[in-house]
Amino acid sequence: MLKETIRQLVSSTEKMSLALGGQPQLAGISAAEQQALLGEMNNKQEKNGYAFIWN
Amino acid sequence: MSIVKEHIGMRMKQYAAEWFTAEPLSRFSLSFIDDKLEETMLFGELTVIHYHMFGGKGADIDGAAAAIELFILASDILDDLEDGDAPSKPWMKVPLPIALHVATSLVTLSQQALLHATSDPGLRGELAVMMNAGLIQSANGQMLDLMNEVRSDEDYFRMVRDKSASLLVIACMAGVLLAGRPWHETVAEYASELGISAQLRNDSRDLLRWDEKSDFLNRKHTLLTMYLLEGPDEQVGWIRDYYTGSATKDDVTGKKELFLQACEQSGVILYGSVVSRMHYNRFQELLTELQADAIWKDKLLHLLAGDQSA
Repeated sequence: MLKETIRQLVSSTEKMSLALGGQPQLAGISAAEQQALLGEMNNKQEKNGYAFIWN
Repeated sequence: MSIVKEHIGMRMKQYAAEWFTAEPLSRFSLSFIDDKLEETMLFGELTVIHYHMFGGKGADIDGAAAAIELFILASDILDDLEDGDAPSKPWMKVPLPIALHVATSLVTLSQQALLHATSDPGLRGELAVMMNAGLIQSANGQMLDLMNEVRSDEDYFRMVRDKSASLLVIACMAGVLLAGRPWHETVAEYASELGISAQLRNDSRDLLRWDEKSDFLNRKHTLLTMYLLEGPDEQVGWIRDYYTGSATKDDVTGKKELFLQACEQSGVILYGSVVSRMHYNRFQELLTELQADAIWKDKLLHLLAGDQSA
C-alpha cells in the first residue's frame, strides 16, 4: 500500500502539495509508514543517520 | 581525521606489520590500509561506542575496533574483486592472486586481532563464536546478492539482513561482549535496522548513477529496481525489456535522461528514502528503550549523523 500511496502522490500535483503542506491523504498505510513519509517530505534537509556506510 | 579514527588506523597498521612477516604481504596490506584511512571508520567506532555504552573497562578496545575495520577492509576488497567495478582502488591495480591473498589474509588477521583484545579465554571464545557466526551470515547474503536472484521484497530484506546488516551487528556486539555483557538482543535488532536503512540509501545512490556501479545497467534486483519495474508500460516498458533481456546494453546506454525521468515520475527515490527512514526510526525507538549510558547513546546518534566530534 505504501508503494501505491507514493505512486499516487508523485502523479498528482494536488496531492503532493497537500502532503508538503502537512495535510496528506494517507489512508491505508501504517502509522510507521506515515511517520516516515511525512518525515521524508517535510524534513529533507534534516541531518540524520543516513551516512553511506558502504561504498 | 578524528582521534578515534586515527587510533584505529594506527592499530590496523601495527597488526599488519606485526603478523605479516612476509615483506610483500605486509607492504600490500599497509598500502590497502592507507586507502581505507581515506574513508570513514564507522564500524570500528561503533565497537568503541558500544563498549563504553555498556561500561566496559580493561579491554584493548582500539585493538578490537581495528580488528573490525580489518575485516571490513577485507570485505570491501573481496566485494570489489567480485563485482570488478572499482578500477581506482589499489587492490584492483595489482594482480588478482595478490589482491585475493591479501584479502583472505586480512580476514584471518582480523580474527586474530579481535581475540587479542582481551586476555580472558572465555570471552575470547564468545567473541570468536559471535564473529564467525556473523561472517558466515554475511557470506550467505553476499552469495545471494552475487547470484542476483532476489525477486521479492522479502528476498531483498533477507539478503540485506544477511549480507550487510550482520556486519553492523558484529561491530556493535564486539563492544558489548568486550564490556563483559552477554549477547544483547536489542542491540542486535537495532544494528540490523540501521544496516537495512543504510543499505537502502546506498541502493538509491547506485540506482541513479550511470557508470560501472549502476544497478540499472547491471540489471541488479534491489527493492528499488523491483519497485521501478512494477510501473506502467508507458513509463518503464523499455526498462523491463532491458531486464528481461529483450533489449541490450547498447539499446539503453544512451537513455540516461529517460531513465532519470522514469525514476522521478515513478517516485522510486521517495519510496527508497521512506523505507530507509522507517528502519532508521525503528533503530531510534530501540535505542531510546535501551538501558545504557545516555551520553554514549547520544554519541552514537552524533556519529551516525556524520558528526566528527562524536
